[in-house]
Amino acid sequence: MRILIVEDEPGIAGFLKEGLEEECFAVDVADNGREGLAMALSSDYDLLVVDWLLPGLSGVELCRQFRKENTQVPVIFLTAKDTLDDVIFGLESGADDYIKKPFAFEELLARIRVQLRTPFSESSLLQAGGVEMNLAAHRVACNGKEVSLTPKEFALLEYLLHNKGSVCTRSRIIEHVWDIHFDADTSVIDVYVNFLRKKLDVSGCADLIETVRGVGYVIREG
Amino acid sequence: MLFAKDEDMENMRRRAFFRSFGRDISIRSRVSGLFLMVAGSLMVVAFALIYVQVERDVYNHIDEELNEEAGEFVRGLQVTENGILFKDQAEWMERSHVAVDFYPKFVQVVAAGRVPEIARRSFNLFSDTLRYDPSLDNVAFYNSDISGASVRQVQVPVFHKESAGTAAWVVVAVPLEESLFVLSDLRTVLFFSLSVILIILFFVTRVIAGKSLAPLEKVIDTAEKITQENLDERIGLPANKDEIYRLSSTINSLLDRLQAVYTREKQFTADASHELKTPLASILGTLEVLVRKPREPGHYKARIGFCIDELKRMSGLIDQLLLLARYDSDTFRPDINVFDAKGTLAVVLGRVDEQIREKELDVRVRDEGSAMVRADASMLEIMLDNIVVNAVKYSSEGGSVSIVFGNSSDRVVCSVTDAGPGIAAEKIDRVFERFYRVDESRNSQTSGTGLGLAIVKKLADIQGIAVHLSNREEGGTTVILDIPAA
Repeated sequence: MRILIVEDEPGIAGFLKEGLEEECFAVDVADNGREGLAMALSSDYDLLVVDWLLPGLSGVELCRQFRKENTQVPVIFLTAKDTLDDVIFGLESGADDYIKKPFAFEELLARIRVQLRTPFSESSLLQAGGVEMNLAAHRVACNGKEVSLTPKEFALLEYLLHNKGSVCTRSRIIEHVWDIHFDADTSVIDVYVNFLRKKLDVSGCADLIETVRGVGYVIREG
Repeated sequence: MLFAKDEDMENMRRRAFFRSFGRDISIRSRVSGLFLMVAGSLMVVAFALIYVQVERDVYNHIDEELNEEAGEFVRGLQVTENGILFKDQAEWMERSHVAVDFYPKFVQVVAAGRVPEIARRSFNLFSDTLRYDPSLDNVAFYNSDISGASVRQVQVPVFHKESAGTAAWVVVAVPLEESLFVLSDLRTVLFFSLSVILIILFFVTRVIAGKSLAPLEKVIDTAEKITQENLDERIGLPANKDEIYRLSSTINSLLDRLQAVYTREKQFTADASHELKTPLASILGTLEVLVRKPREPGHYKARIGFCIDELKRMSGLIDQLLLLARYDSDTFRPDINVFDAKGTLAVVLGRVDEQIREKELDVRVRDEGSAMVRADASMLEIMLDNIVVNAVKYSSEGGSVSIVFGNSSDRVVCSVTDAGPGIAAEKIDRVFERFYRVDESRNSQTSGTGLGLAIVKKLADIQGIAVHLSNREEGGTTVILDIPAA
């Protein structure tokens, strides 16, 4: 899952990037409104975290302009503005959620998960074949046995499970699992898929991830 | 005790009631009531004068007639030692109104003596007699009655020629009923017209007062509806530039000022809360992420170091906020003394010495006169500190800062000039606002809290110092302090 943080305060942007990356998100940071909007519109992000008071373009204006182009990607407002009017104004400008500073990192994480979960599914549990992924506990089990994954492997598996049943192209996987600093060498994905398959093979789930020749990878239903 | 208290309470309540009773009467009722009282009193006086004049005229007229009639009779009398003689019996007969007149006159002659005795009566008196007062010895007019019918009569004494004693009285009377009826009619008419006029006046003045006060009600209604939620509403101005117009525009300008203060306060609170919460959020988040899993010692050191810096920033901000809050209070008085501002500048420069050397700045202090000032030394230090720190902060490396002291009449002028980027023309007017920052990205290395110049301005105002900030054509900014000289 790839997240864009638009935040001008380096202290906050710093720990957000660090914390979210440790939770296996790919994170990009923009430190002003205009750059943030340009990045949000040009890349395929799964979620935006936007500060309200930004140089260049305010978070509210960013959100409005972004919503004209894109109504799918959830936006979470992150701001020190805390009056009822501010909250309502923020949500009405097109944000999906609103967190007041200062906030607990765990709360932000939970709210991000809420925004990212597929409709009608349990918030933190993804499943396919014999594989069970618990996002909150950050654990993967294969046929009841726990599998230890690196953050990137975890993120890759999470992305494929989220899009269960549909084929994920290599470029989409890159966009959603790796951040903007990744140079587009898609063979890295094949390497990580191989790592994943090997780890899952130990518990007998090797054929979970299917290769679609020349396109990408898919996890089938069931 | 309890009873006494209750009684006091009761008294207070009663007094309050009476006070409020008088006060609660609307202007409309008061104006119409007052007008009515004045108009009523004037009319009562006018009507009383009319009545008194008419009454006097009526009596004068009657009395004149009586006097004339009595004179005739007195002339017809002859007083002798034996009694009263009528000079001409025939004339008496004729004069004494044998016929019942439309406007009859009654005549009676009373002979004086030890016991007064009626000597003659006119026939139209029939069996009645006219009253008389034997004690009177000059002409007198008075009201009386003949068997219950009101009359006006005159009693004229007739004197002995020699002894000058009263020999007889001639009493002449005319009926008064008619005149009394006219007068009582006049009284009734005056009384009723007064009542009717007063009642009409009461309603007319109430309506007029109500009409002229109606715009006031509108003003009250609008003003009542204005709260902090809709402070931008204003009272509609009437077309005529009258008192209501002045009242409305006065209230409106009061609202303008209130709104400006309210908006400024709200903005200040919002800004202060934002400025305090932002470092708090970054400290909290950084530490939370830090303790989520074990890390390298260097990592801990870096993150905790960051948090310490943020806490220092917060602490500085809180100091500045408290400073402003203290100087904002009305009870604050500066401690004005005479001292050398160059000494203060030296202390300030010593404090930023490290930064000056780090950026290799060329700081020059030049004095073109005395720098003895009349100000609060600690305040001036804070002001110079903020200005010099800004100059150092915005100067590019290797740049120059020049500080000049000069004199103009009774002022010491201190100017601090840097070779920094200057300030955009549209922003230069706002630099003294609290939390206003020229640099929008608040987190670059140069940015502070946005309170420094606001504090400078505030302290300057308290001490009677003028502050002026301008861009130089060749780049950079000059801050000029115009301080009262000693």
